[in-house]
Amino acid sequence: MYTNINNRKIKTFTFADIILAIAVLIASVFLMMSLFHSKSNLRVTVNKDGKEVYSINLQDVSKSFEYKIDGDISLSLLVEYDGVTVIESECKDKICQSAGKLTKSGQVAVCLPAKVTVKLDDVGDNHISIDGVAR
Amino acid sequence: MKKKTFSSKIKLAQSSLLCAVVIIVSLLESLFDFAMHVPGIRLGLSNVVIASSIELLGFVPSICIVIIKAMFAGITRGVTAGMMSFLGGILSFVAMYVCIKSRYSPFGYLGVGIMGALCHNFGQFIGAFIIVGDAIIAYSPILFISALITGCITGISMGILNPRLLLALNKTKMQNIGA
Repeated sequence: MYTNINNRKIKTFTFADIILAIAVLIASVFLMMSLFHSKSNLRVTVNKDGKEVYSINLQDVSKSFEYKIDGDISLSLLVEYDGVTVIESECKDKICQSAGKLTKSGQVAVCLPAKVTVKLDDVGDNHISIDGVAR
Repeated sequence: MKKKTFSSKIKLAQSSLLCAVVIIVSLLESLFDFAMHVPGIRLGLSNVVIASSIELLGFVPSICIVIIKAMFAGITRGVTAGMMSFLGGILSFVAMYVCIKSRYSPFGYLGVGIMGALCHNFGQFIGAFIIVGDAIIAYSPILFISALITGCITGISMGILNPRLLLALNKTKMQNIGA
């Protein structure tokens, strides 16, 4: 009753494994190329609970400033002319802080406990932004 | 008849043993940072244990282990983490079960590891998508690459661990039943 007779014998490596690995690699490279493209005309969008609460064009930022997102778990952002950074978060995971400074279109910082996303978009050409991929 | 009850006791003991191992492993790997600056990426060593429990114990005990792990994550790290762990755990369990048990599956342990990691990340991706919306799509390339790397690591660990574990446990079972 405890023998392994019904199980197929499993090898560690097979040919299909290598094909799978290569396919995943190609898919991730393709996704990365289609999602991340650096452009000059960037826009920061802050979403909370799925609703947009704040957005600003980085071109309009002449002097860097701090923006605070209030809520059960508050976050502060440092908005600069070339990017945006989550500098302070009250949640203990600090995952959004470890995303560092966002400078490219398509980059995001996410705080799941606060349900906040900070996202950089390209306002120059909307048709290949993230929303275009999502639909 | 007596033999059967004895063996079901062994099965229960092994299920609870593997369940404890899963919880400890997932706790341990949250303590040290595997990918230093990539947010939210973990090694997924519990997939190794779940793969051995699929081979050793079958469907029902393994899915119970997945659910108990998700409940543990829910108790210690909050409801959000519990839900994410549940979605990822169930999806990766189904993928690994099919890859291991199906007669027509072409994959070896490496493929099982990669499929498990991919589906785990995909489940968590769905959970995050429900919570925060489409901004999370920008994470998908990172999730793919991390699934590839962690899947290779866990798959090779499975390849080393599982045959030896099955052999050792079968041997002790035979001795116990014989005695």
